[in-house]
Amino acid sequence: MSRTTLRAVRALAAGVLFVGVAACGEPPAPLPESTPMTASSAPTEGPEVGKTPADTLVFGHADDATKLDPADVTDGESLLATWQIFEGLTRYKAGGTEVEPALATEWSASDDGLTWTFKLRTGVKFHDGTDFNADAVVWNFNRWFDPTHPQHFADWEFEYWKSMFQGLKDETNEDGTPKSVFAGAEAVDASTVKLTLNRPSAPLLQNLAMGNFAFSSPAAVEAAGSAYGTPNGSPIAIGTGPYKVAEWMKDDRLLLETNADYWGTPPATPNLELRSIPDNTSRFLALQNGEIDGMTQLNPDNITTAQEDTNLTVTFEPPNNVGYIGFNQAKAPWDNIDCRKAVAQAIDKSAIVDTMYAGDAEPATQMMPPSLWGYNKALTDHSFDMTGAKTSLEACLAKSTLPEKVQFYVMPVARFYFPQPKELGEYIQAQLQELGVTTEIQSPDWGTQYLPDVRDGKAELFMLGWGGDNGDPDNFLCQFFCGAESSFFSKDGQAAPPDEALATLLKEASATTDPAKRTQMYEQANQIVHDLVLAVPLVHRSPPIVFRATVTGYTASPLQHVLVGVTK
Amino acid sequence: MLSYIVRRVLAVVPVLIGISFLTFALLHVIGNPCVALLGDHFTPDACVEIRLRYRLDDPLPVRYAHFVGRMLHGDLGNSITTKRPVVAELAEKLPATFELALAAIVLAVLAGIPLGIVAAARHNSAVDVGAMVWAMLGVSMPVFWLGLMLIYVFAFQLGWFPSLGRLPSGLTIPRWSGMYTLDALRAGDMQAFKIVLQHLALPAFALSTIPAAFIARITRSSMLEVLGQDYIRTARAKGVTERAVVARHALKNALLPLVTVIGLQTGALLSGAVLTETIFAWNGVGRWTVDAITGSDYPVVQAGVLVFAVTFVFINLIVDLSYVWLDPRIRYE
Repeated sequence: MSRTTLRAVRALAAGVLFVGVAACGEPPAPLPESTPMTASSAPTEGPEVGKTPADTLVFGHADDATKLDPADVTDGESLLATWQIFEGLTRYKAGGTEVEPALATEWSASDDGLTWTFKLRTGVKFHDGTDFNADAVVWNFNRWFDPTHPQHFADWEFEYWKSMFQGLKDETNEDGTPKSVFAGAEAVDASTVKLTLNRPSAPLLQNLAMGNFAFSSPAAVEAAGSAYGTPNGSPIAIGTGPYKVAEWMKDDRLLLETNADYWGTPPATPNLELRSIPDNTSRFLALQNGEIDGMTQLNPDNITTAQEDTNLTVTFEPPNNVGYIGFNQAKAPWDNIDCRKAVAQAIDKSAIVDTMYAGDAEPATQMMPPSLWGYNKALTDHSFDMTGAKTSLEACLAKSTLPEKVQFYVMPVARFYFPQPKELGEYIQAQLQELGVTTEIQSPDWGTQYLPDVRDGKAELFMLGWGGDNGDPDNFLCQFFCGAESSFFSKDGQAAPPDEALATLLKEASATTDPAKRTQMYEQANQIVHDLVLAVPLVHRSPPIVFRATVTGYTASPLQHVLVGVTK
Repeated sequence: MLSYIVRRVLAVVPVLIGISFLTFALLHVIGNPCVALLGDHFTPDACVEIRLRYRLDDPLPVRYAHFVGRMLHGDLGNSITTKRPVVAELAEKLPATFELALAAIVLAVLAGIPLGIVAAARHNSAVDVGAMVWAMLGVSMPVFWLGLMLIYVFAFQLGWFPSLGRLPSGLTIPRWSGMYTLDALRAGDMQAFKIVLQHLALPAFALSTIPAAFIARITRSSMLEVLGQDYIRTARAKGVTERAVVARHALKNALLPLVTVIGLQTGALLSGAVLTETIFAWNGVGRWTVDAITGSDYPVVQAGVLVFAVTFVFINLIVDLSYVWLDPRIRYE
C-alpha cells in the first residue's frame, strides 16, 4: 500500500472516529428549543436532545397530508392538518357530533326546507389578509359545485362534495331531475348567504360542519392555481382557522403557526408541528422518548404499555364506526329472518371484544355508534344464547335450506374496526359451527374482488364495517338500508332496500328538519333494524390518542382532531 | 485506454434506452394507462384529458418518443396522489437517500474491510470465527428489527441519539444540496452539522450492517487467496514483517474484487433503504417509491424505477472505469 493510500485510510479512520465522538463521546448535542424554522445561517444554539421546543406542540401521525385543500381530500391524515387551518359555516362541538356555529353565527330554514339563510361572522379575515364575507362563501360553493368554475380544476375530484351533496351542477338523474341536492348559493348582503336546495336535506348542517366544506381564500386559490394545497403552491393553503401554514416539508413535517388575527380563542400553543412517522412502533418510541408530544394510531399491542407509562396519557376517541356481519337478503336462506336471527344469537360479542381488542372497543348493538344522536338507548340486543340460536335455526330450516357450506367472506385486510379480521372470522366460523352452520371462509383480494363481491351481492354472508363522515345517523343507516348500497339486498346486480318501510322512514328522516323528530325517527329505525335482524352489528372501536403526560387540553371527539386548545 | 473509456461510456446509452423502454412499458403496455394513471379517480372526462396529455391515441412508437422527449426535458408527469410534478418530489427526496446511503456505505467499508483483513490475517483463530459470526449476523438480522432495537437502546434507553427524522423540531438548515451534512457545513454551522450527524447515525448504522458483512466476507476470502500466493511467500522469506506483508503487498491486490462488491452494495443501498427509511421516518426516495407502489401511483413508480436503474448503471460504469486506475496490469483493447 502506498503512502498516499495509507494517508487516505488514516483520514477515513479519523472520520469514523469523529462520527463516533459526535455520537457517543459526550452527552448529545443540544437541540434548539425555539429556533425559528425560517432558514438561517446563524450557528444553531439550544438545549437538550430529545425534547420538543416549548412553544411547539409536535404531533406524530402515520402519513403526511396528501394535500392541504380540504375540498379535494378524503383521507384522515390530510384532514388532521386542515382542521387546524380552515373553518366552515358550522362545526362539531368538541367531544360530540352536534353542530354549533363557526363562521356562520346563526341560520334559519324556510318551511319547505329548500332555502337556508346564514348570517356570517363579521370582521373575520383569511390568513392572507383578505376579507371573509358572503362573496367568499358563494365563491367557494360555486367552486365545489360547478365543474365549469375556473378553479374547479379538471383533474381534481371534489369527492366529498359529490358524495355528501350528491352531484355537480347540471348533472341529472334519468328522470331529468337534478342529481345534486344543492341548487345554488347567493350573497344577500356582505354578511348574509342564502343556500338553495333542490330537495330538503336535513343533514345539511352536519355536512357543512365537515372539514371538507371549510373555506379557502378565493384570492389564494386563484393565485396558486392547481398547485393550491400542495407544497409548490404559492400560497400553499389559506383559511381563517387558528393556525396558518408556516412551512411544509412534504412527507416529513408541516409547521403551523398562530394566526394572530384569529377571531376566536387563540391556540394554546403558539406552533403546531405535524410530523410524519410511518412506523407505528417508531412513532410510539419517539413519544416515549419525548421527541414528539402526541400521536395517533397506536399499535393495539402498545396500548397497555402506554397506559402503564406514567409519562403518557391515553385517551380513547368516542367511536364513530361499526364493524358488522352482513347478509344479502335477496338470496335464500338470508331472506329468512329466523336464519339471520340464529346467526345473531350465536355470536358472543363480549368475548370478541375481550379477546381481540385491547380495551379499545365495545360490543355493538346497533348499526351506528352510541356517540350519535338517534342511537336507541332503550334497545335490548340479541343476547348471546346458543340454545336460542339453535331454536331459531330450527325455525329457519323449517322454511329454508342452508347450503352444505355457507360461503363466509372474511376480510383479507385489517381495518380500524376489525384489526384482526382473520382471527375474528375464524372465531365466528367456530361459533357458527357450534350452532350447526358449516361455513367456508373466502378471503379474496380486498380491492379487486372482496369489495366488488360484497357490493354486487355475490357475497351472501360477509364481514365489513363503516366509519362515519358527518355525525349524522343518515350517514350510517341510509348508507346501509336505503337501497343505494347493494350489499344488503342485491338481485341480478340490482340494489334495493332490504326493507321498504325502513327505507321510507329513513328517507323521510333525511328530509325532516326538526331535530327532535329526526332523533325519534332514527331511534325507531334502529329498532326496526334490530327486530328484522337486517345485519349483525359486532363492535364499535375507539381509536386511542396518546400524549405526553404534561400535555393537557385535548378533547377526544368522534369526528375531528382539533389541537387548538392543547398545551404542554 | 481513452478509447476504452469512450466505448464503455457509449455502451451505457443502449442500456439507458432499454431502461426508458421498460419504464415506459410499465405504464403503457400493461393494462389501460388511463386506469393506471387515474386509479380510483377514474372518470371518462379525466380520461379524455389524460389521453390528450400522454398522447394515448398515438401509435406506440410515437408515444414512446414523446415519453422520452418529456423525460429528457425533465418532465416525469405528476403524482396521482399529490398532483405535484414527480420531478419536484424526486428532487426533495433523492438527496436524503443519497446522504443516508453514502453514510451507510462509508460505515460498511470502514467496518467491513478491517474486519475482513484481521480475519484473514488470523485465519482459523478465535478472531476469525468471531468476525465471521458477526458478519453472518449482519447479513441475517432483519433491518426492521435491528432498527427498532437501535432506537430502543440508543435513543430510548441511553438517550445518545434522536430516534427518527433528519432534523429535530424547530430547526431547518438553508437548503443548498438537500444533503443536510453538506448544507450545514456550507452554512458554517458546526452545531447543526453535529445534530445532523446524530440523526444520521442510527439509520446509517442499521443500513450499513448488511453491506459491512458482505464486504468483510469478501475481503477475508480475497485476502486469503492473495496471502497464499508465491510472491507473498517470497516477501515473508525475505524477512518482511507480517504487518507489512498484509498492508503493503496483499491488501491492494485483494481490494480489486471489493470494488465491485462495494459498487453493487452502494446501488442496492440507494434502492433498498425502504425499511430503514420507514422505521427512522427518513424522508427518502425508497419509502416514496414503495408508497407509490401500494397506492398505484404509476408516474412515481416510473420515476423510482428509473432512478434506481440509472443509479445502478452509472455505479457499474464507475466500477469498471475504476479498474483501469486501480490495476495498471489491466489493459483494455
